[in-house]
Amino acid sequence: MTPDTLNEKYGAPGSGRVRVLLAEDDDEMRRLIAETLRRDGYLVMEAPSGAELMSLLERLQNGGDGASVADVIISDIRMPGLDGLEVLRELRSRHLTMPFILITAFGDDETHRRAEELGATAIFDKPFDLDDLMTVLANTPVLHKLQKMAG
Amino acid sequence: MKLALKLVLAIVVGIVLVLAVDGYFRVRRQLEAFEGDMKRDHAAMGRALAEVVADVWEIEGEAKAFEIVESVDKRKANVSIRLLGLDVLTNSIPSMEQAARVQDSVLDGELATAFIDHQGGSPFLHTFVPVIPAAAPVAAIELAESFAPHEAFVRVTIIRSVFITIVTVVLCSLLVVAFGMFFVGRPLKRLVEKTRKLGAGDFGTPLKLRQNDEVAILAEEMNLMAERLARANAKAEREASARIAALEQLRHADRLTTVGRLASGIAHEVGTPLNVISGRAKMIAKGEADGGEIRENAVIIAEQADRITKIVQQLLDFARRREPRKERVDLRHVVEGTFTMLRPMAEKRGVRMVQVNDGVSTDVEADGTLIQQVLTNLVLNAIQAMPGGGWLTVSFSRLRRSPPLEVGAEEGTYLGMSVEDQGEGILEEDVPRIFDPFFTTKGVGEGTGLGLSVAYGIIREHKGWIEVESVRGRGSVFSLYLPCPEAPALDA
Repeated sequence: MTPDTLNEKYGAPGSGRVRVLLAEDDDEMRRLIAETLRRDGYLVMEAPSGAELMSLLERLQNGGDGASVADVIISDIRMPGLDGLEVLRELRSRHLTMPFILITAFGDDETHRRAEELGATAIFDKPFDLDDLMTVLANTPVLHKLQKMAG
Repeated sequence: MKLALKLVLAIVVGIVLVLAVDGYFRVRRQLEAFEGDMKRDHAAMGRALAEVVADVWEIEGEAKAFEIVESVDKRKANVSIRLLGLDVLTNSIPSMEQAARVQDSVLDGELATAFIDHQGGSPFLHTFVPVIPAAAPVAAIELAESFAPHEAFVRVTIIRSVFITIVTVVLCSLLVVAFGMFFVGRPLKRLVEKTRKLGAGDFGTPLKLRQNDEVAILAEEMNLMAERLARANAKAEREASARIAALEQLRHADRLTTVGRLASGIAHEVGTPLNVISGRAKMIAKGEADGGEIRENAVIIAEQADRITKIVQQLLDFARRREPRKERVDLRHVVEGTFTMLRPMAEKRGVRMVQVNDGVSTDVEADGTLIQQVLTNLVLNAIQAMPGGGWLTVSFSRLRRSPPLEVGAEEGTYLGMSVEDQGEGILEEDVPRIFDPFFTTKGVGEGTGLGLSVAYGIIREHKGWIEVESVRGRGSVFSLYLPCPEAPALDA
């Protein structure tokens, strides 16, 4: 995927539309979330695993202008290969501070605590109400600003 | 107090020895002194008398000399003095040797003494002093005195000595016993008691002895030892209870792991489809879907519901296993049936499936459906282990085997069916757990980990077992063994 096609699919930075990177290994679940997000005007790039998500990020970074290539990341925790928490840790260690939302099927206290420690914006236990996810996104200050910038 | 008796014995021996030796030497010295005194007396008296007698002999004649001696003798009570002619000199001397000696001495003009035992056993000292009137001895004065009084004295001394010895011994023994009991006996008894209590595990209060010697040191050391023992005991107890607690925790965690895994498995397997169903249904309800989309959503809802149903069925299957309904089954057909069912999936991944048989009879007494379930599970695992394609081989063998202990069957002939793949293989540490319920090496979402444990259970109910061999990177072989039917095989 060349940088231009990426921008075509994904929208160039500053276009006013929030760009979401979504990582979820269950196909139907990913489709559902992506559809719901797109319905509300978000631009969504889908990845079926944590590893795919990382490589996607890398490609976007190389192709983009160096600025944040994703405005928000939504990721399942339990995926084959790299899991959500590890992705979060990796990103934070690279000083990428975009909002990060985690989804999990087995959200015990330990997992919630680690998510908080690593600086996740929110964590949802499956099954959750998609409306709640949309509300969190809408209320995240960073994303709010972006949408306002475009007017 | 046995110790005191030993000490007493030692003291007694010592005292007796010392006093006896001292007594002996004292008696001897006494006797010697007596003898010396007596001899000196005799010599003095004898010489003086001899001079006088010699003069009288010369001047007044032999008879006068005898007279004088007789009158002197009468005057001396304890000493008998005689004047003896040379010829009768030695008449009173019994011993030839002594007699000769005395004779010689006297003839030489020298004084001589001899001890002679008289009747009754009492010794007498005889002193012979030569009388020399002119140039040569003509006679000798014999003085004889009894040693008896001195002997009596010696006897008294000996008795006195013995008496003193006995008194000393008795007194010392009593003292030793008394001191022994007080300084050693009683404290030791207390020490013995303390030791006994220690042995029984009673660490109690320290033993304080009011003395300043080795026994007290021993008591102090015992106290220290008791303290150390008490601490070590307490430590051992703490460690034991800690170990028990840790074991309990492990057992607890073990139980939790299985239940926890089951719970997380269910949560994921059921939670995700539920999320999708809920989301899609709400979309329809809110009117966010129109026309064809409604139908699409409904289809998705139905699919996800099916997914949940399958999981519930699997769980129920795991919980309840039905009795195998055994009949004569040809395993080759079972394999073919399984291949047919899974061919589409295999082909999608480039997996080629083949059945191999070297003329081994593949008849068994088994529940065909259940065996098919097992085989399906094994073949499915094999296919999933080869995402890049490869060969899946099912082969048969007939051999005499001794089943693993838990099967509880005897050595016999078994039909082995092996499913071999060229996949990633299983990690060595996972192999022993591979048949455990809810154990899975797949990512969550690809299975609840029940398949192999169900399969194992089914084969066990057929009085067989499943084995696995795996080489990481090369592949795995799952072999199941079923007892050969008793009836002779139909093919050679």
